[in-house]
Amino acid sequence: MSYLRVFRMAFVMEWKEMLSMDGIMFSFVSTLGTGIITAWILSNAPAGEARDHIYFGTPFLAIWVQGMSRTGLVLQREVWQGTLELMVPSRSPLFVVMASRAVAIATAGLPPAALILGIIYAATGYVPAIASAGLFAVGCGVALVAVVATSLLFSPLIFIYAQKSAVLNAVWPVGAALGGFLYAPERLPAGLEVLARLLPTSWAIEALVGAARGTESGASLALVWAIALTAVIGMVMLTAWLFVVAERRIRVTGMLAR
Amino acid sequence: MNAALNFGRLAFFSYRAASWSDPLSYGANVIIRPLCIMLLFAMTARVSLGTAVAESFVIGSACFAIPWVIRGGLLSGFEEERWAGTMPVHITSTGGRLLPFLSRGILHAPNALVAITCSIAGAVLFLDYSVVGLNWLLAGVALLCMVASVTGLCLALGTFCIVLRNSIFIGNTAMVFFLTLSGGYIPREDLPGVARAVSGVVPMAHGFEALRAAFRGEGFAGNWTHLGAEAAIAVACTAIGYTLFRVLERVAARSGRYDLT
Repeated sequence: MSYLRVFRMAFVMEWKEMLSMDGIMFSFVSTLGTGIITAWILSNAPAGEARDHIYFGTPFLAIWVQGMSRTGLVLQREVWQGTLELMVPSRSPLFVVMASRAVAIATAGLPPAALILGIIYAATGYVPAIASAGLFAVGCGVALVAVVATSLLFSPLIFIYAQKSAVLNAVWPVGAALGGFLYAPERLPAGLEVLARLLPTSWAIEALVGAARGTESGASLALVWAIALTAVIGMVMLTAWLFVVAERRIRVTGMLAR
Repeated sequence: MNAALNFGRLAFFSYRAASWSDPLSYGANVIIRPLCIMLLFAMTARVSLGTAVAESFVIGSACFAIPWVIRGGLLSGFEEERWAGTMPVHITSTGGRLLPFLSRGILHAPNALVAITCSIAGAVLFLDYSVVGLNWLLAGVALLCMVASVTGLCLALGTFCIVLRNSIFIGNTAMVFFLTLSGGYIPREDLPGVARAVSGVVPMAHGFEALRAAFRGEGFAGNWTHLGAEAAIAVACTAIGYTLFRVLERVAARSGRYDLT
């Protein structure tokens, strides 16, 4: 119960931060360029699975980039302001606090994602048909969970490394390129496809596109979602363990960041 | 001699302050990020628009490492000088102003060129991109002009970073213009009227024309206009930036603060 309270409070705190003018402007300006470029690509791309994949994947790419950038930025600012230290002696586990903040950041990424779809619609008038609204909704949910879990995995590293922006700049581009957001992983060169398959986002976005286009049966979608969610559960457990290790290291060494 | 030594020192301190000495920071910003962004956009173009557009996107993505690297180093430097309280040292100094101002950008330029090289190498390695027939000299001159114009613009935006204390927002806003109007991804002829007209003065736009000509194996003939325009934008941006910085300096010296309101 107390963990739920911690989760709720951290969510509210992060949400308020995101709703500041600074947070809103950061979110919208960061996604504007991607939205315009995507709109141009979609206006020139022939109809087909590749085009639909870009359409459905771009909003989740925006949420991924936002999530990673904001997490690093928020923690960096806390270091500068000296408020990050307060989290360490607190009884609340870092994992719960950071998970809550990651969820808040991902939720705040939804309006910029909608902005991208708005730009695409304004420029191209393109709205793909959805074969099954129910399966599509499930697909969106799984994709969102996959994005949050993947961004959370790197939080312990961002937390303990002094140059927080360095960690996030090393991680988010890799996730963007290999996360299957804008193209199916099998389109990647062979070696990179293997790496892409380790990320739950690549499975989740693939299933989302399949659900929207109606090209996959319910059973085959369920299998892909099961793979994605298994990877998500594995990532969450690994993240929780990494936070315990980070917390212990901070308490023993007395150093917040190296 | 003293002036050259001071210029070198200032350039080094400005560079060191940008955390480039941290290996992860350097690797992430100069190697990993440009490489992955190139892969993301080139792959997207390849699967949806074909090989020709993908090759154009390789050049565009590789060159967008220039503003990414330079704005990261320069703009945050201006803002952090205000946070850290070192800006008054400039204002109360009896020395010249132009050399310290220009020295801020010098050492970030090589990083931008390293980032471009890594991106192109990645395209050759992963996407079978070919550089056969590339006019290396024209490409080199075009890239130097682009680096100069982006550095000039970032120097001009630096004053805004001091006043507004938000280099990330200012840098991201500048990136929107680079990404959409410079022709790196969206061909300038595809832009609507006003945007196309504006794109003529956006840093990198003319450089991209010359660089693409270099990748087609063309020579300098026919590209002097583009190179000249890019160099002119670099000079104009730097001059505007220096003027803005001097105006802010006078306001700060008179009012005792950096805010213009």
